[in-house]
Amino acid sequence: MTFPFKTVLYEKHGPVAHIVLNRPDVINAFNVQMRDDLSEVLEAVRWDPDVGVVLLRGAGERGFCAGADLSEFGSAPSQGAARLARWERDIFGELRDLPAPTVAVLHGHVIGSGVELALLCDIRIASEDAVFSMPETYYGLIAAAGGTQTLPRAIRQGRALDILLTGRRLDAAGGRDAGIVQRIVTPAELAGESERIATGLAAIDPAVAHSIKLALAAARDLPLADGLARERRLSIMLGRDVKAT
Amino acid sequence: MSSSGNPSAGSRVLTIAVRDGAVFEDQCAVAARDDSLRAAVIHLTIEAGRAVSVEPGMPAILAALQIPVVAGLSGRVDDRVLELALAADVRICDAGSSFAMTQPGRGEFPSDGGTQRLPRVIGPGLATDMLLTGRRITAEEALRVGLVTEIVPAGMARDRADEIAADIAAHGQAGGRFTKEAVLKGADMPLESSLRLEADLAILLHTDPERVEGINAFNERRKPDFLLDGPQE
Repeated sequence: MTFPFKTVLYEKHGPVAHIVLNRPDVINAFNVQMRDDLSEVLEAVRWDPDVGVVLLRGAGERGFCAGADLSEFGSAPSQGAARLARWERDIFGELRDLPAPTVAVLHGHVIGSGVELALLCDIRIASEDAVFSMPETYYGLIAAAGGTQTLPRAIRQGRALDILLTGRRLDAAGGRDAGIVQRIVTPAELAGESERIATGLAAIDPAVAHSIKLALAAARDLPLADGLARERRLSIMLGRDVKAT
Repeated sequence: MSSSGNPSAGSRVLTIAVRDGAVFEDQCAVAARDDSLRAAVIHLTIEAGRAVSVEPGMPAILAALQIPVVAGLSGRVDDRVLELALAADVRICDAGSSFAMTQPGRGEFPSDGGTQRLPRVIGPGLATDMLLTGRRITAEEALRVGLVTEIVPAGMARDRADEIAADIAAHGQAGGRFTKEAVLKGADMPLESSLRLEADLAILLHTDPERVEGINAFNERRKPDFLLDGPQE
């Protein structure tokens, strides 16, 4: 099944949902229309019981996402309105909080909010042609799709500060060594390998997969004793589910 | 601030000397006060037989700076010198450098942030090993675990740290300061709260003329110029 949006392709193949950023002429630069399209897609994915795993990738040869479309920046009428808009359509939070496991499938340019979208997914795989950078401060900006928080949590503070403050570019191997991606494959292998990962993830009991995501969020945010209590509670809830069926 | 034409990025970088505690404190006070500064650099290059002396309290003073701080490291970067380096934001080192926390082996307690910043930077497993056993790690291992982000040929750390600081100084000023604040302050929050901090800083930045210059430069496919003095009153 294919669902048409202006800037995003959404397809379902069995339990695998494919979300494709689709502005290849501008390396899938993230704009307001894409935010709105993604918001609708993510809402649909969230409540679709058939979706067992989500793959997020970019259309075209040149890359996953070249970052925010700065030609639209500065158009918000006021700071208050900009702040309201940020939280009314919080697609970054929606992506992060999806119950199903998410995989970012990365190639070519992975820049700025491209890196940030990937960091909101659970697993990141890249092809050998991937290039990562966070150039926001170069343009007088800061990362604002969660990158100042998700990057240090993914790769720790020292490396994150370096990447965010210097705008350093990393190739695929550098991205793996830094911990931005967990797996690298050749460009020819990328589609097949991500399908293979998706098939594996789709085979996990969805309640177990969701519980692991919730437990990992607790590990990130809570003191150990509270995290362990959360883990135990999630385990009990799953046990009841199993007995009930 | 006086108009001085188009100063180079280098003139917006303060080099903080580490030889003397009082001088260090004075320079950090300047760094905190001088709005024209965009980055600071410290050189912790320990030549054979000549130790850099870092006094208690210096890491806390450095860590309090809002501007990004780059540390160039060389030689044996141990104990309080390492604690001072950990209070910087970007660390690079000479080939052949090494890193250790030797205080516990001598019955001393590292009290200038070593027990807190080291695990945050390199992870709790290796930090515990280093703190309890005094294990020394090589430059390569430091790079692998993120304690440093570059190794340069021996003797080049000083120049390379200056170069990185000049690069950072050519970027947006509030962009750099807010990024540092978001990363360091956000680290202590649950993710949800930290994302609100980030978003609020990003929106606060909307009033910054440098943000406008950056966006214009991007759209005009040219290099942003944040160092030209603005229109004079």
